[in-house]
Amino acid sequence: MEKKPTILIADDSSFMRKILMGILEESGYSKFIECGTGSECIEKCKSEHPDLVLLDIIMPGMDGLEALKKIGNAVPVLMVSAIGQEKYIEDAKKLGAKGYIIKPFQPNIVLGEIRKVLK
Amino acid sequence: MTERKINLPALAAEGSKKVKYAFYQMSKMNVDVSVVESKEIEINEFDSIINNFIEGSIVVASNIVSGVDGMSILCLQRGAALQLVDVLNQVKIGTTGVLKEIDRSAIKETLNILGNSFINAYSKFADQKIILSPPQLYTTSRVSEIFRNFKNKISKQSASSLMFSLKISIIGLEVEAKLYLIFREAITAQLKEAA
Repeated sequence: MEKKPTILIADDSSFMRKILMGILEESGYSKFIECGTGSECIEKCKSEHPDLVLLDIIMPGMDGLEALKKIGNAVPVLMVSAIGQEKYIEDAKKLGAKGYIIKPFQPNIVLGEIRKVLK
Repeated sequence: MTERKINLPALAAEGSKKVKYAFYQMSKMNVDVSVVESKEIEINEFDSIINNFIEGSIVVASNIVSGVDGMSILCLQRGAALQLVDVLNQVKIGTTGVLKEIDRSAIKETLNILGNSFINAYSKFADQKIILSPPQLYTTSRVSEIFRNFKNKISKQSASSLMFSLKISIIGLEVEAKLYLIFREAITAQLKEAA
């Protein structure tokens, strides 16, 4: 039986975490971990070993780019942010992000990016 | 920095286009977003604007953390905010009476996207990287205090504000919101050239 991937969603907005989980659940994903800060995300990566991280950039305390630096190659990361500026997309990719999704996101783009990383 | 001409109506149109798309993605409903009015406001005028926010209004504020000194303030009346939450939660209008944590998160995030839509439009026109801090919900009295602190911080420089008055129409519901982007004068001076 194929193991379902565990997806860690790091976003300080509980509403956006809910929207993302809704999109993923409709597509068959069912194992989620949630957190609201960059430092919690790093802790969860170490303790829960997710298969993928969806990481918001602007969060209180440690932001997503800082968290991404600390996560390194331990787990694949897709950045999720309301920022739609190309310069930050490049920053995230240079730090090792596997992709970038801009809020509000289109479900087909979210799912496409996730499938690319998890294949 | 190279002076660039920024056309305020064009910026308003670009921002509202992004907001319309954002609301559609979040509510799965066709949304009409129009900028009823857009203008530049002198900083001293802005004091009385904030003081006249209707008590109980929902105010979301963010600082600009990259690019320039500034802040973003969004204001809508509480009743309108509750109706917006109903739409986002896809329940009957009038359902939400008391805002739960996730409802507050929904409002913050919605207005965050709205503010970012206009900031992104401004960034595109000004060719400048601008990022907003995580949004926070405030009471009207608290936002007055925050704005005074901000004004004191930039007291040696004049500043001005851009105001966008928005009308958001969803399934017969009309919500009005006002967005204020406050920058140093050197930034908004570019708009005057294009007027």
